[in-house]
Amino acid sequence: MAAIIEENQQNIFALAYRMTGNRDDALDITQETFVRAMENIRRFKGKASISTWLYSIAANLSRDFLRKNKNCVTVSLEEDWNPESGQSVLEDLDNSERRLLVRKAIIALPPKMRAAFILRYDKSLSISEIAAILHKSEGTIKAQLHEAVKRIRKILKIEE
Amino acid sequence: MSKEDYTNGKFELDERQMRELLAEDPVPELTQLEMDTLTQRVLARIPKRRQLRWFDIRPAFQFGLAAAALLVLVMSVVTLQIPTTEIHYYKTEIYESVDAEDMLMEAIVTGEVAEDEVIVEFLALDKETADEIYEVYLPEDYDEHIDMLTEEEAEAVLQIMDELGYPSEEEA
Repeated sequence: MAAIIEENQQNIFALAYRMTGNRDDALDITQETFVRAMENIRRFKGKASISTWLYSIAANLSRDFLRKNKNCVTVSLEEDWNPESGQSVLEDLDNSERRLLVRKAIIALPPKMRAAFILRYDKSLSISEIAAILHKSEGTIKAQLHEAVKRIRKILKIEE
Repeated sequence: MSKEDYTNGKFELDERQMRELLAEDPVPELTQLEMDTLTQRVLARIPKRRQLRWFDIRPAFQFGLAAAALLVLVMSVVTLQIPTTEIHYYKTEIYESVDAEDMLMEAIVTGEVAEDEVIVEFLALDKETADEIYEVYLPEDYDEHIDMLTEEEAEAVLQIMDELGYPSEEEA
């Protein structure tokens, strides 16, 4: 189990981080994902890969978290501060603002659409893998991705 | 680009744009310490750690609020059961605001009260002080005392009183 945790924790953390926009919340969800996986390891049939199964648990936990804390989600930038980046303070500030804007645009997506968006464009999973993780049809996932891209472009004023 | 474009594989633009966008806000890497801690906590099945935030302590706050409301309710019921005590305190406070001794003295001298125990109950005076005031300020009926004496004794007393300067009955 330790090997599975070590191999997958960064990916699971990345999904949770993109879903919540907050490092502490993402760490909690990552930990909870592996605890749930350990408790239910006997139910794992091996039809999908272990990473797909873990993504599925993490996506569900993230959605649960967002549902319970829908008025309290905090988008944090504190971990982005890097005094050794070699950039000026103004450059750092510009980058921070841009990062915050991107993060807010993703957070603005509905949780299910957000999960599909992250798995596709951040984790580069196939449509069929995403459909299996989120328990949706491939058609639904394609529609969600289409809508997510449209909304992100509108928020960030990106032209096609 | 429409939804069907995805099926046809025409989504390279979306793919490239969105990946570039996400690259602007990279996910922070877990430190080795964080990874080790996380692995240990998962293997030990330790419940997830979290700092308390205001919504985490909300149940405790709600419990405190309910307890306070219950206390106020109980206090209201208890207070409602002793209204006479409140009225008594109210009266006492009024009489305590004036000088009780002066009030009683004036009442006795002006003849408004001879020996009324009732008024003493309402004044903030102890019985000993009130009795003293009555004794000093209540007009004496000398004749009443004299009637109880023999004629010789009465004459002797009147003579002493004359010597002491007390006014005679006619002068008074």
